[in-house]
Amino acid sequence: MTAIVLYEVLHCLVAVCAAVWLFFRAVHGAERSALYVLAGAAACLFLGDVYWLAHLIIRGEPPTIFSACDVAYIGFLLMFNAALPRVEPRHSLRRPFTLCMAAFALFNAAAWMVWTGVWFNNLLWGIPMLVLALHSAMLADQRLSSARCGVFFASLVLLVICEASVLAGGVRSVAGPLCTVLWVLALGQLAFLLKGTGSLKRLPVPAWALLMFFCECASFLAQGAVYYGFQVVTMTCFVCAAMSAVREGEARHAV
Amino acid sequence: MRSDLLLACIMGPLLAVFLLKGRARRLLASIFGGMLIAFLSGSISGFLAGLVSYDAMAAVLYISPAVEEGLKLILFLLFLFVCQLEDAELPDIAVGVGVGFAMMESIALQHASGDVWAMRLFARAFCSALIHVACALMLILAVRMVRRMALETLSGILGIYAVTVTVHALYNLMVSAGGAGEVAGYCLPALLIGAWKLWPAIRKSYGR
Repeated sequence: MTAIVLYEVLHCLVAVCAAVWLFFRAVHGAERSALYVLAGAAACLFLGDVYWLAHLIIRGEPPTIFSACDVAYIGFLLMFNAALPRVEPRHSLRRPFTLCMAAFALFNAAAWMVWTGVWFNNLLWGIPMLVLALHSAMLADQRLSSARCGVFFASLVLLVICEASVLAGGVRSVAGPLCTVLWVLALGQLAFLLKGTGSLKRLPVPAWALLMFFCECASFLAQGAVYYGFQVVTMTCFVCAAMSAVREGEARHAV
Repeated sequence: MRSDLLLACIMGPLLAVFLLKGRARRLLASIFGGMLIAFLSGSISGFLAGLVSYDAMAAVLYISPAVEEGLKLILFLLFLFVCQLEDAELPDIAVGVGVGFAMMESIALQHASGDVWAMRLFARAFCSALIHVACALMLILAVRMVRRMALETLSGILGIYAVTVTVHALYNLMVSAGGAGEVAGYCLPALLIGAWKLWPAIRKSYGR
């Protein structure tokens, strides 16, 4: 429990630092509205963590039922989605990559429902996750290599089969580690696909959003240390997205 | 919340809505609206708590913030579309809704609490007014987004709604703790209102 509390405190500190930094960059720099919304997203993360810690201190246990901290984390996803650039859905919805990410988000939502047996809370989580996945995939799906897409789709199919076998009653001690390996491989392949010929550091905000969505999905179907490992990567992706948004704003302002 | 309390309290603002004109009428209408949604949210929260078998504390922590802020947002949108408000007029409406809501809630609180030290009741009622006004001011950002009417606007509005629900729930949680937690809880809305008042100065100092 101490390690979890320490993790939450660190998560809280990173979130508040990100929120304050983004806020002052928004006040000071160009391209303000997207940065304000991203600062709001970071503030949501911070508030969710503060609520979790306050509940633990005051009530002696973490909030177990659907509580304000879940509302704050869902708010984070929604605000991150609002910070992404606008897209014309008619032109992008039919592309295979976008459809694949949408189907993957739906599979995840169904898997959470099957695993936990709670459909309403998972539906509330699943809808913003689906919206974020769709929106960021539409924006990221511009110049993706078809060969790399093919490898990524294959890794996703393997992952879905493995997770489905675990949820259908397979032996978790055997299939669980295999699922973790497949999640890591698929995440690596997604990053490789999104970066194209450029550098990983120069990824645009929608690409980081997609990676963050993927890590969030990976953590939600994991337990223990694997869950926290993927959560750390999720937070890293958000920080990278924030840095990318600031850089993009400055570049546009310079032009 | 009892309906006779509502009837006893709303008559003054309701009369003023009919007698006054212009900005004063809008302000009194927002206070009246705030009192009405306080009554409604009490009833809805009570019904939902009964539905999922929560006790009073669980209802205050998990149900009331979502219901109260949801009704405030609906009332704001109603004002926006009916009165065709400008952005500059929104803070007045927000303060009116927050104050009206807090007034009704404080009356119900006093009715329910019985013999409580007057200063404690005053502090509780004052901070309750602060949190409702602070949350209403935050919801202004959501209402302003409605004008843009884009696909991502809806997600932004719901995101801001989530922030207000979390802040309100955090306040309720801290106030329920007693001792230092209660004092920290009372300071939370004061900090938010302070930040709101300081915002123009911050923007002026740091902005380009």
